[in-house]
Amino acid sequence: MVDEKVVLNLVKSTPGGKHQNEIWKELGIDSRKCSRLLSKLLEQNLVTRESVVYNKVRTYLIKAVDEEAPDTNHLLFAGDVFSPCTGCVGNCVPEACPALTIWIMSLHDNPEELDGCYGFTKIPEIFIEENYETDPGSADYLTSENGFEQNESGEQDIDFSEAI
Amino acid sequence: MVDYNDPLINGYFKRLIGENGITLLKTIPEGEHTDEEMYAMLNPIRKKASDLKVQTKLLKDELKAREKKKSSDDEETDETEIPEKTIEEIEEEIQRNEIEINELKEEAEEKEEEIGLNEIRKILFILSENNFTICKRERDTNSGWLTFRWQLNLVDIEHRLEREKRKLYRNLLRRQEYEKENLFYICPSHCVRLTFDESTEMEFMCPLCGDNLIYEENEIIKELLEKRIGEFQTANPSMFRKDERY
Repeated sequence: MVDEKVVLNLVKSTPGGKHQNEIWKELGIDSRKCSRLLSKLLEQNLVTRESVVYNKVRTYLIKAVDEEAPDTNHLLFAGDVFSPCTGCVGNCVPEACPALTIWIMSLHDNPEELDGCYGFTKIPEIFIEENYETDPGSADYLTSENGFEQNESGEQDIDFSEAI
Repeated sequence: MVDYNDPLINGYFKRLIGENGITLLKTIPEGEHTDEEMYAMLNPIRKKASDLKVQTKLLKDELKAREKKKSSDDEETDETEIPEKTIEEIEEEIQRNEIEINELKEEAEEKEEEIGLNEIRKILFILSENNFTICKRERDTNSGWLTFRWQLNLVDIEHRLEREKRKLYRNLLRRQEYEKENLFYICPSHCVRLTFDESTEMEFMCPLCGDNLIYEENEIIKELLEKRIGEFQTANPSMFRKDERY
């Protein structure tokens, strides 16, 4: 005989909560009985539920009340460096974001050992021949492509024409 | 009450509004304030100097008006109304004020790091975008002038931190996929980092300095990413899913 205690124990035994459609399948009861048992638990404030989409099906995520949310705040830090995505107003290109690269490198015990070139993963548009011919002055690739405004030395416009 | 010295809170606001923003948050007491009041709280010496400047300007205007009046109707003066201050007294006061203004300016430069009015407004707008302030707008019926009164409201901070974590997690997943799928070539002098396809287009030459590109071993970055993503997933599997779409 499956009662509220069994359901509650199952929910408690799963860290992060359990989906309602999994509970009744696991316990071998029908969904009607499951939802009635859960509504009893909800009335007693022993579980909470939130509407979620799981495997393309809308269901509820059931969590036991006494289960405290784990503290994940430290994960925003890499060493002393706080998440670079906070307050970032550039175009978000994580693949080529220098700030994110520096943050990832700070996860290493000795960041100085790592070799990297801070995420300049795109060829500046000015080096693509067509662009150079049509608009030789367009050196503002830093703002458009890589999603940040200034390079490390604080200069905004770099004259690449000399390099060519 | 939020503890601004907590490394987490401090780090978050430092990224969001910078050092000056944290100074602002620490200085402003609870309640509604206008941006100009905040400026006065943050820069008391400068505020005093600017008030004195306004006062001096008024005195100068009065002086001019009196001299004009004196020259226009010097013969018709009844001398019935006795002026509060004589011209000499006003001149003296102006001189005193100017000396004091200079002293205050010097003092301000030594003691205060100025946070300008524009910067304060910028900080307030960023805070408002992130739902950390309650803003009330009042319109003066006579002049039509708008006054914004700001009140700090940081109760939502836990929720914002959760959002930041999700944002970071999604970006890390995207980066991980990119690092896994590509081979990278870098310039020895760190000008560019290109994928294999891009390097082939550039004939394995650096487009900036012309040096030969070399293969970059990105195993360490991949490991670091995998470790941190794993930490996210084990800490809260329901929030940080493996199949997260970005």
